[in-house]
Amino acid sequence: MVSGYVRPDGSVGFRNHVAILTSVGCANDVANKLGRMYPNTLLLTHRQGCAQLGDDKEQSARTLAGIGKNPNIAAVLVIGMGCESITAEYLAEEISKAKKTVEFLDVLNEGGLLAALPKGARFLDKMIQETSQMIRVPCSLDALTLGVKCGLTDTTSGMATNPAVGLVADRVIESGGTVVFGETPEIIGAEHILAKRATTKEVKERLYRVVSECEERVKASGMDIRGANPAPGNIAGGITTIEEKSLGAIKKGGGKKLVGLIAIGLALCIVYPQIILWLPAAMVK
Amino acid sequence: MKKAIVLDTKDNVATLLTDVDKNDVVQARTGEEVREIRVQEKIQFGHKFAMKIIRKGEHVIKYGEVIGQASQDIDEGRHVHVHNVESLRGRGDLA
Repeated sequence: MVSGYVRPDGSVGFRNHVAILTSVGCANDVANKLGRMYPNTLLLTHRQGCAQLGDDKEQSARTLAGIGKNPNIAAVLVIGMGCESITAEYLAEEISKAKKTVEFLDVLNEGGLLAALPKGARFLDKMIQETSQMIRVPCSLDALTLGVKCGLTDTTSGMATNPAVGLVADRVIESGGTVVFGETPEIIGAEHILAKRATTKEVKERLYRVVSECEERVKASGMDIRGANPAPGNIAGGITTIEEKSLGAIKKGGGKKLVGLIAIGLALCIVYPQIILWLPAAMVK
Repeated sequence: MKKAIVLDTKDNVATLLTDVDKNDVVQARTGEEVREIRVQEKIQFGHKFAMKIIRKGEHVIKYGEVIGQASQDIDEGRHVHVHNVESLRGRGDLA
């Protein structure tokens, strides 16, 4: 039994953040200043949003909107300049589909930094008051989407930590929840093991294709992947090859069926059935 | 007693659970089965040694799977790592 914040769209968050999200890197300065005024907000700045085209722009826009929609975020203030490729208005509209409180402002349209700051502050103040009244309610593990991530691999990862995390992953899935794990380079050498757990032929083929594309990109560089992955820290810790690293890495996803692969920034399959073959996360159910 | 773990019965390497010095006898455990092997050099915690001789070009097996191939002959008890094992994947340098 766990407790979480039930969001207006029915999803459940395990944190209750008020977030400041920039739509473009140039707005980071305003966001940083507002973040200093309200140090308990979640400050989300980045270097995307301008001078982007096509798929690259789509992926960034999708990722930023996806971050705003995350159920751990209770309310969002999106800040743009007003001249960029990915506008604050666009992101706010996308995020509002999750039915949470979203506001946006464009620094240039407000008349610059000194006009934008009080407007942003008023939005944040209101959001903080509103969200501070939210309370956790009991809910079960089926409300949880657990993301598992590599963090400094050595040989103990494949023998102890990842199998332990994998047990938790299995438990979450058995309770009806979802697990997402990824890092395509760390599947090289272990893809046949994941492929056996694919629920459909399509998932299996996509997995092989995506891993193979990743490996082809490495080969096209003319370099041995070793030194980049495994990284020097992994090697010092006893990991000799990418195969060895991957075989230990996949254990963090547990042993259940693999239902899909998703690209960066795509919502879990229900809403977006198309899969783009970038560096995907693998979703396990 | 110094210990090492062997993750699968098909493995030809064991992973050390402690630092070892040259000539230390190590208990390598595979599930319930324990085998004693004398290591031939000083090797660090978390690193691997050969459970039996692995000839140049032969596969190095851990977790029951291929993790690379020996780039030179590796005697039983020797350190198995980047100086004597090559990966078979991500080899843009061979393309």
